[in-house]
Amino acid sequence: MEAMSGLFTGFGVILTPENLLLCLAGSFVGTMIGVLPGIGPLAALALLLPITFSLPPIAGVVMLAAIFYGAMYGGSTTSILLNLPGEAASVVTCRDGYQMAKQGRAGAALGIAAIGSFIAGTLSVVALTFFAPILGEWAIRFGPPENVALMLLGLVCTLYMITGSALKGLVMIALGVLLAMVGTDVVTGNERFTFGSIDLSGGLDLLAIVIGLFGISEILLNVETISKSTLLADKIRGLFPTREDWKASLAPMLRGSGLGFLLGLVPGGGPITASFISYAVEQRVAKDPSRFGKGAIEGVAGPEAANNAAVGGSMIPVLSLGIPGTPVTALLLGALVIQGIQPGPLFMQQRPDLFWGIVASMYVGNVFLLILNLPLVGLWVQLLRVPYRVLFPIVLMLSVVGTYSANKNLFDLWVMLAFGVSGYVLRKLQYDLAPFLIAFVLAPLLEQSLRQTLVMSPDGIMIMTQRPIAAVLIAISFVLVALMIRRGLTTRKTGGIPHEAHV
Amino acid sequence: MKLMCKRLAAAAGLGLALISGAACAQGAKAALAKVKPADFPTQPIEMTVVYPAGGGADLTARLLAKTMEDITGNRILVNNRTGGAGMVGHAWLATQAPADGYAIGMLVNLVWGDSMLRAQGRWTHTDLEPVGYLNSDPMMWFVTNDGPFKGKTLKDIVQAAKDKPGTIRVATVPGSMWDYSIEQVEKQNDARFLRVPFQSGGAGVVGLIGNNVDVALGFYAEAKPHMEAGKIRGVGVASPERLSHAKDMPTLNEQLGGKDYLWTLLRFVVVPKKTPADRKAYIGAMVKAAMQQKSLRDEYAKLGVYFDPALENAANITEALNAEAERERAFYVKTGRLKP
Amino acid sequence: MIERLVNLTWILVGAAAATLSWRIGLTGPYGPDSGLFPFVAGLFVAAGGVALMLARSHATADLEWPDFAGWTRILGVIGALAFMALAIPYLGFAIASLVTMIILLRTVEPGSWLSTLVLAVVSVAATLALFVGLLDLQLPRGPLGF
Repeated sequence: MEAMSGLFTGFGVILTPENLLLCLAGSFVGTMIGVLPGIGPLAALALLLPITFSLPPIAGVVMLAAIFYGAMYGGSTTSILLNLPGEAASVVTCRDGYQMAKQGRAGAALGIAAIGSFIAGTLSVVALTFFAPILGEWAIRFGPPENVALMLLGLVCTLYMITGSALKGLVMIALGVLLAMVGTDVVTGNERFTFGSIDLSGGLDLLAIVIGLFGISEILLNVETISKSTLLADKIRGLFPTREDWKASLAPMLRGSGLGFLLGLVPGGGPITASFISYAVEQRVAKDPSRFGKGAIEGVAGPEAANNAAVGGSMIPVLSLGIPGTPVTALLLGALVIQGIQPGPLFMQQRPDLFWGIVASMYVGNVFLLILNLPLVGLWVQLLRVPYRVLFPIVLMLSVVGTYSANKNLFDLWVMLAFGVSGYVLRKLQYDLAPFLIAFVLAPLLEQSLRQTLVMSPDGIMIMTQRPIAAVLIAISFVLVALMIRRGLTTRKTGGIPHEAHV
Repeated sequence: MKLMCKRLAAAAGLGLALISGAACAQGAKAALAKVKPADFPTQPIEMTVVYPAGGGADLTARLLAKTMEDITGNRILVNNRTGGAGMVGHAWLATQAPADGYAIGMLVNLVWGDSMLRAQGRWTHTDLEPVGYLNSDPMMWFVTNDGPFKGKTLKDIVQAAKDKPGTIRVATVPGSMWDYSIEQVEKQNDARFLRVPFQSGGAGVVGLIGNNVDVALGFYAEAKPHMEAGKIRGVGVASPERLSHAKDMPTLNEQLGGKDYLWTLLRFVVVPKKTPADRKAYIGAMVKAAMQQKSLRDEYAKLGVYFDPALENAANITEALNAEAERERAFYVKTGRLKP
Repeated sequence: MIERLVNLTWILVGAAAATLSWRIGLTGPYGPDSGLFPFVAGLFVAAGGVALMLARSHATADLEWPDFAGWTRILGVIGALAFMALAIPYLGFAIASLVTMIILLRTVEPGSWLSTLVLAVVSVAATLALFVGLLDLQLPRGPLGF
């Protein structure tokens, strides 16, 4: 049991007062940053990177990693309480989490989110402990054709979760793809739809869009009818999940953990994709899909588990091969490099103390986060008692600073505002905005991978059928589309209107 | 002191014998005190990096900022203004950055291509003045140890691309140094590769390890762990001489019998052109003093870079780097990318 | 009415994007060029707009727009944010956000001036302490140096 002895070494390294304290500090800072709207894990890590210079390598990375997964824990808080995603990966959590809060069940939603995150975080570290090298090898085989297949699957899953008019949902997906094309085309270096603007040459910023489309528009909807004593929820029922909540959430958590972990491994995956696909899966397997979007606890448990498990998954290529798949893991790698350590395929053999120390710290960090977050649930719920007229200007201010801090570009504030106003109008007209976001995230990678695939393949698109992983993913997509078409047809035959699962 | 300076020169490798004697770091600090303006700096200096945190450029800047802080006691904050593969940050520095010395930039010579080919007259690199040179990072060609080019030399690979044109898959970053290096090899050897586009050199190296391409171009730091693990191997480096830390990797010139297979990332510090002359001089002196610290040179050496003596000892670094930029312009004109 | 305008926007934006992409070029030597993806997406957006225009069943049924007071508050929030984005380069972050906070607090259900001022100052100071003090973020400074 090489892994067990390794883990033993790791705990030996990590269980010093200093390292434990830094892990705790990282967990706390991460949670806070996740809670703040606008400022995501990436901006936070970039800001805090200099602090690690003066720390020993293990301590620095332990703290940064704790901030990363801590931010994933905290991200759900404002989604549930204010319908305002703390970062892009918790956009789906808004759907059912906020509905639960409106029904007075914010405590249950927050509790399930924290526990789901804990379970997913821990399971993914267990997988990391035992299978890191094998899975690393597997992840690296994920070339352009596999990415194409994965992105397609992601888009197909999105079709499942459209609420309201399906036609409007399709328009949103197409618009998401279209707006993702603004900026510099990575394949040719050409600028597209930039109209000579330097600000647009970098494309539209994801964070600014998330904050605008989901956060600002929510505030605009709320101020319509605000009065002196408007509260977000008048009654608060129970702080903790009930026995039924547990029963309903366990399977989604486990599914979300597995899904998130696998998607986190591969470059095109990551927490955003993981949370969306998990939601679609839960909706698909649920006995009564119509509850989704109306406060179904599975819709919180699954995606929250998925985005945390994706963090664990994304650590594998970095730790076992030195290859970062996401900007955040690239930054963690940078933190090690600046300390003179270059992780690579030999990292585990050359620096077992560091490798296992980081792994062990993730076990410890997840426990810290659970201990930190459960009591915080009570505190956060009290936030709902603050009058909205005091709450919303502060939330707006934080959103503005958070959005600015990512790129230090004021243009992002205009993007945020424009998407906020459009989001308000579109939500009034009952457009579902989540498909827009996922299309915006997936489209650039889909485009790039597809074009890479076509360049590198002698047989054109047929390469997809020759690569097993790609072929399987494509097959799943086809089955899903076929099922959807059949469902659409049968509802029509029985005389029902084709949008049954809608609000 | 003397001993330290000698060791420093040896570590840097490429004949840095000039920094010798007791003049070493102390001399630089004294020079620094001499040129310090009375009213500058009174607040933190902001060093802009146009690439994301954690990447090669960012690490270079952060190490520099830390050393400059240690020497002078001024706060120096690294700021990542990212987007458009550097375009957004470059444009900000050239057109919007305050010219009061508090805004400086750590740039890579890719800024020249950005300025000459993509800026469309909205800004130019001449709006920025180089004040200090940091290091050079030559481009390398890599293959896998178990792939189709196991045990082959770069010459063999180019020959293969000549015999079966358009079948050897090579990772490139379109419209950048990667593309130019491949294009040059193709043109001068009558070969043709199949260029697979990636968004960065690092992504291309990952593509190589995953066997999605046959050849990748990249830099030492991103490939080093995979070379140590025996996964990939460098078959050529686009520098004038072999590198001291990679002695067994031949140069492209040796392999292909040329003189001009030279593609190197140069990293340097710039200020907006209108910055007052005394502040410019002080920032330049700060960079120079930092670059004479052994600790910083060691850190940089670990990232696999070298220090080009010609640029390091240039009497006027601004002119020396501008001359490099003009060489690049000549290449663009020659290859028809730019109208003369 | 607004719904029809939005549908019209889809048609126009989609058609314009498709036209521009067509000019960029749809296919290159190895398959899709820069224009293909946006071309297809543009067509979908435009087609969706046409379909929404024709299919009445997709129109929003119980659409309710805010009353006059509601509109003032919404415009107040949008105006405050626009003011902030405009003013930051000239006034610096601290002053711009202070003014913005006051506008926001006054637009929606004004309380007493004193409470407005206290709340604005405290929240801006807290934001600055958090981001500048703790996280070392450089926010734009105004003419007064903060």
